[in-house]
Amino acid sequence: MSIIGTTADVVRWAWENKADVRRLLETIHLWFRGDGSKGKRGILILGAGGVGKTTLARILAGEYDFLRDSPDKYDESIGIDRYTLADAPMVEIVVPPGQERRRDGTWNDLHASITAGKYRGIILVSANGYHSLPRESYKDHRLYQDNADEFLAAYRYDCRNNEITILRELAPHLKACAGKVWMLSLVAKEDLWWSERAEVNKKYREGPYAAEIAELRNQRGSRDFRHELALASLVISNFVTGMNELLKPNTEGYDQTLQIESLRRVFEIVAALKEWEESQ
Amino acid sequence: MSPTVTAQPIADAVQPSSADRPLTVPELPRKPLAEEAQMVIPMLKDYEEKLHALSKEAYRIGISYKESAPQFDIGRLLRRNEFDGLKQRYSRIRPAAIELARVVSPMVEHGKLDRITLLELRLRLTDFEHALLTTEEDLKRVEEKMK
Repeated sequence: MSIIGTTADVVRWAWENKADVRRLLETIHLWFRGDGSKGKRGILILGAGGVGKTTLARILAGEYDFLRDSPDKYDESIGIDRYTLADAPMVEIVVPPGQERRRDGTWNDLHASITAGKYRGIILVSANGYHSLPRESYKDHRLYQDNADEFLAAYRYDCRNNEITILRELAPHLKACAGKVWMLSLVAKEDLWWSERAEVNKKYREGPYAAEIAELRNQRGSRDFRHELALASLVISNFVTGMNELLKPNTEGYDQTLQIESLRRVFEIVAALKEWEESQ
Repeated sequence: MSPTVTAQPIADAVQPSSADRPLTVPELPRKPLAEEAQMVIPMLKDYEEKLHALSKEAYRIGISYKESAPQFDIGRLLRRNEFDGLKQRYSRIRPAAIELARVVSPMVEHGKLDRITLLELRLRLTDFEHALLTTEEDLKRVEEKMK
């Protein structure tokens, strides 16, 4: 449908389609629960700090309502967070903290668990460089010289490099993983980079990120490894610092119809991964 | 399906804007970053020690509980009471301790600070977070043993 309309149209569309998206999510929950005979395996959500891992985990666990809950101020996770489905506590969605110094202490064991085949799938979240800045002014950031725009460009460049580093750290464990495993690369915060979406799509499908994925795919083969890329917005929010300084407004015209469509795409991709997992 | 909720939450949800949102808590006054860094270093050290002391105390109570005579023994009741007090103390410290970690973490990750201060902050925060996480686990572990 056309997304151009009055606010009331948008609201009606969003509420009607939210139900569809929720049904898709319920299908995914059924899959997560499994049939009990194949053993339960969890989902691991990885990514740098401030990309939206916790929000995604809350959405997948059914704890977050993307129409009712407003985007919270970003708070870092200090230890490993584990989310379970309300009626299936054995199904775990595991979210470790993303900051580099915290990765040293928490990710090694998780990487070993990937190699051991403990997870049915890995969701690697990135944000095209828009990693939330907690509790500080950008003027106190070590990349800040004397201009907010230059700071944002330098910060995003740094964050994108961090995203590739995390993928490179993850790749050897996926290569060595026992059994079949899928990986979903989720590029979040679409509302912030919607106007440059063609370029972003290309960057993640053809750039250094894609090269790492291609190598993984070559090594594992399509029988044991499946990768998908999804672009989405988990929440709609301006890019502000922890001090509430606006660094980048969300894209004009990006509303909840687009957000819900992006989530629908993500859930459809996850449903396709389910088909693949169950097909062999 | 028709919308059934009141107008305000939907209107907020349609075009949320963090910049426009009223802050529920006004921003507190801040000191220059370098000054804040020097202030938090002794705090991290102090509370890391307090958390370690809580863990040690929990284990002492746990051992003493196990050594007491079983059921209906006043010693066990007293140990249980002591342990509950310890748990309460931890529950009260925990929110502010997490807040402290969240305030210091961006200083370490991104802060424009001299390298020695950064290094010291990083070490102190690592110890502090470790103490925060292990104390919680220790309390759970001891409680499990006291069941």
